[in-house]
Amino acid sequence: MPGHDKQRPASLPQRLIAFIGVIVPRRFRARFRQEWEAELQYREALLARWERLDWRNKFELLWRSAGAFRDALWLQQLRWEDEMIQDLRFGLRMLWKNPGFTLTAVVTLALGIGANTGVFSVVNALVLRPLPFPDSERLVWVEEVSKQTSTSNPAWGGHFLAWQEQSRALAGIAAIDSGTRTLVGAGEPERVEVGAVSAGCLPVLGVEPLPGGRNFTAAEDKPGGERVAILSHGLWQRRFGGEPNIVGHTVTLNDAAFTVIGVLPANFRFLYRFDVLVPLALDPQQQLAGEKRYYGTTVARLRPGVPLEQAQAEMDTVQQHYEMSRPEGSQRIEGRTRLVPLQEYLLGERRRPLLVLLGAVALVLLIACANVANLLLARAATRQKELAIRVALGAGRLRLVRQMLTECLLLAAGGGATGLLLAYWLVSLLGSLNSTDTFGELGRLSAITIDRRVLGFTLLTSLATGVLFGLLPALRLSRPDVHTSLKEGGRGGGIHGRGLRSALMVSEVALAIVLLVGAGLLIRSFVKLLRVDPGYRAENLLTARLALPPRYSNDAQRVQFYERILQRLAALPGVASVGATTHLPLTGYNMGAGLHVEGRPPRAGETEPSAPVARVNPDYFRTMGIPLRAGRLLSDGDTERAPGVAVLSETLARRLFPDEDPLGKRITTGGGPGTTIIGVVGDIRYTGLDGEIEQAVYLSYRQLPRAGMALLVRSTVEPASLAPALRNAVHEIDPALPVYDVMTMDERLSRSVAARRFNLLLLGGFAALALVLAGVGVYGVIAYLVTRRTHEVGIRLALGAQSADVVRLFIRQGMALVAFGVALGLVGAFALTRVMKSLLFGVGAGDPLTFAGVALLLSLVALAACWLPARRAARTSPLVALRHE
Amino acid sequence: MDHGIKLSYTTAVILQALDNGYQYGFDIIDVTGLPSGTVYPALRRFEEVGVVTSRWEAEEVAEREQRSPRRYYELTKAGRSALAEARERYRALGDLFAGAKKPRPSDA
Repeated sequence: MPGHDKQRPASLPQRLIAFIGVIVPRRFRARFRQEWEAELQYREALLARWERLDWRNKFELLWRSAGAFRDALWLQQLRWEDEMIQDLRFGLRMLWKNPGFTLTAVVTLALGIGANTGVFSVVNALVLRPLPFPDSERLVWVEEVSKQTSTSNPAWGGHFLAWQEQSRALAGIAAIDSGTRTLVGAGEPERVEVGAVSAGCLPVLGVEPLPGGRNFTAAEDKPGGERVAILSHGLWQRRFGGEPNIVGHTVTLNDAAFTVIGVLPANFRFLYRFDVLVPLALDPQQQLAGEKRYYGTTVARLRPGVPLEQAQAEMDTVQQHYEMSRPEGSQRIEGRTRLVPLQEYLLGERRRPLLVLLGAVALVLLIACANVANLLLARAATRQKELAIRVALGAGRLRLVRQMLTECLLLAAGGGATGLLLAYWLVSLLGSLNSTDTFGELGRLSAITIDRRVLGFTLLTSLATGVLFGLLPALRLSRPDVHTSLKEGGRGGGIHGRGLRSALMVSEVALAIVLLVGAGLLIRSFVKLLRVDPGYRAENLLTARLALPPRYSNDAQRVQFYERILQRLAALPGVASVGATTHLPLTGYNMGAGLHVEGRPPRAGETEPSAPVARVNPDYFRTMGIPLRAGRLLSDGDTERAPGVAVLSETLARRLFPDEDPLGKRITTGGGPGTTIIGVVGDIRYTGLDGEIEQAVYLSYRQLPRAGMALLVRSTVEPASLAPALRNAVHEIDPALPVYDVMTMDERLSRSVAARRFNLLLLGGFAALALVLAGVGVYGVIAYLVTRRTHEVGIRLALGAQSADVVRLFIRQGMALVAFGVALGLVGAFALTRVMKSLLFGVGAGDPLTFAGVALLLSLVALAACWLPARRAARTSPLVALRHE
Repeated sequence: MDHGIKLSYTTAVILQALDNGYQYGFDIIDVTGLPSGTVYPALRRFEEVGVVTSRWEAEEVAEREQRSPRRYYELTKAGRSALAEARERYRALGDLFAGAKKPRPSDA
């Protein structure tokens, strides 16, 4: 910038400018000064020429110069921009010039941040995001806790009616029953999901049918009320083509005609999969008398401002009053009311595994950070000269640190962006899973997506990561003694952060151990689970479910249908035997009844034992592969005209008859006719491989044929191949009776462990990632050590050391650190795995086999990682090594 | 064209002064009556968004008078369009400096 020597001594205003100029950023200082001083000079000269340089004008000039202060302030903002842009440019250039380093760091970070984002998106969808209903935090799940057994059961219909009528703490309550019925008309007969709901259901959930439609009225929700139905948006579009005048049309469900009164919005999500809603129409008289007892999902909405405990207490009182008002002699249905916030209930046991996964993936990120920090420290060796120059030029420590942090933030931003791509891929992968199996109904209500909160999480994680892995190296490398070390040829001690690097490596190893132990425990649990004997033979077993519509109005018709289908199926090629049961394992259906042993007086204070009562055909046991323990199985002779017979499962038999022979004794179930016990069979597990053994009573279906049964076909060929033949066989008998839920038993079992499998795959993946990262980290540190001690190695080789000795030297050094890390990790794992206890099966949280195995695995990998650079060191020629500085 | 400055009366007046040939900082201060603490930050802002550009005056001129070269400011195309917009808003703007002497950078 052109400037001339001032010809006159500085005047007061000029001195003021000089004073103010101190705060102007260096880059602009010269221009600032010259601009102001030139103006002042010009004006002063002009005034002097015209002899106007009196005190008033002088003062005015001084006053004007004071305005320079505001100018200087304004220029302050450019200082930050300026330096920040400088930092960014410089950082980008440095990263560009070292593509290997940059790529490695970005990939490492991307893996860590991407995995975290993926898991967080799941946590976000299931735990953080509110349910898709207005004011969803006021929705509660209602259940009753049995006073005797302390188990939670669905609420009973009579209590529901009482609450509906009398509760003041609730804004509304809904009873929801779900099932499938056959829809005919406007196309092929179709099996649809039907929700039978009370009239208050839609208001409780806060949804209204689309304009032109309406909700059920209270009159329609009574027995004998009008048969009306509300369609789901999907069904309306799919089956009726979005017909605008659908209201008023008739649909036929299970041979009954319903008038359509409305359609629900497209974005409405119900608690269960559904196609049609119909009124539940509970009969208050029936419920009061205890007949045809209804138990079902009950959901309520609290009134604003009413705390949960208060509502719970009130509902308890209402329920007790109701019980006391019931006719004498009816069986008391007693239990304490229990309210659970709906989202919490739906999340259920999945909260713990999710948190474990979140913790695990955070560990992976820490390992990734440690790796990148080590990379930074390693690279520092090549940047020494540049650092020293900058220090010599007067860059303060703060400036250096800030600039290195900028680079780290750039890396983190790159890692974050790439990680986000990875997360998108992960999320789409998760979307392809059957979300109901893995995540329950919540998975359907809340899709796993990357929304704003997840993006915010990614941003925050990237920033935190950048600071985390960058801060320590930046502080270490900006130490004032950096340039003195340069003179010493780089053999000086800690400036390169050797202690820090070793510490990072040890922590990486420890973290990896923790993850590997967690994954190992899950693997062992899963293996043990799959080995559990369910009590039946699941292979080569095809299953299907039927529900006979009301036109099969009496027992004889039903028996006839089942006899025919069983005969037909047994005649198919490839079929070894056919079974039928009301209680198909893994379908969640285990309705039970009270049992009473004839001739045994009820003991005071004891309640009746109860157990699932299944209705089966004689071949059921053979088809399922359930062994006979005593007596005989049901036979064809046990028809509806023959005396009632029952078969017990072993545990039940032992429980009811601990010291006697059960055979020949008589029992009644659910107050029905007495049956004679003719046999005892092996136990089976109904609710899943990790479930308890259910004690069961088996009665002949002929003596009470139910509308809903499951068919089982044991095949000599691949069971899935028989599915079309099975459907055909049913349709040959009754074309309007669709068969649903057709699956092999193996597939049912596999689905029942879907959630565990999900946890295992994720945690296993993270552990594998951690192993790789830790291995790379160990390799990096040892390679660095090798480089630093090359000179020394040269001397040793020259003095006659064998290459094996050199290799041993480095391996010993490396493995010492690794051993320390492994020990730390094992201790940490022992402390931490107790949080996983609820996820384990058949394995303790401190299982020694897993711990030992993991320690061995990691040590082997670390050994390989040490050996590679050590081998390289041993191969260097002594001359080259000696010359190395 | 989006010029990026807020067209307050103050900035409008400064723009008009620039257009009228008052192109040195202190001259603008003189002729508009605005304080230096207002005019200079405004000029800086104008320069940042590209509404004016600035230059040191010709060396020979300064040398002749034995002083440092002054910095003078010129409206850019964006600046002229901003001024046009300002004149629509403040109708009397164009008459502000009517009749006043218009010094130019090359003048002594």
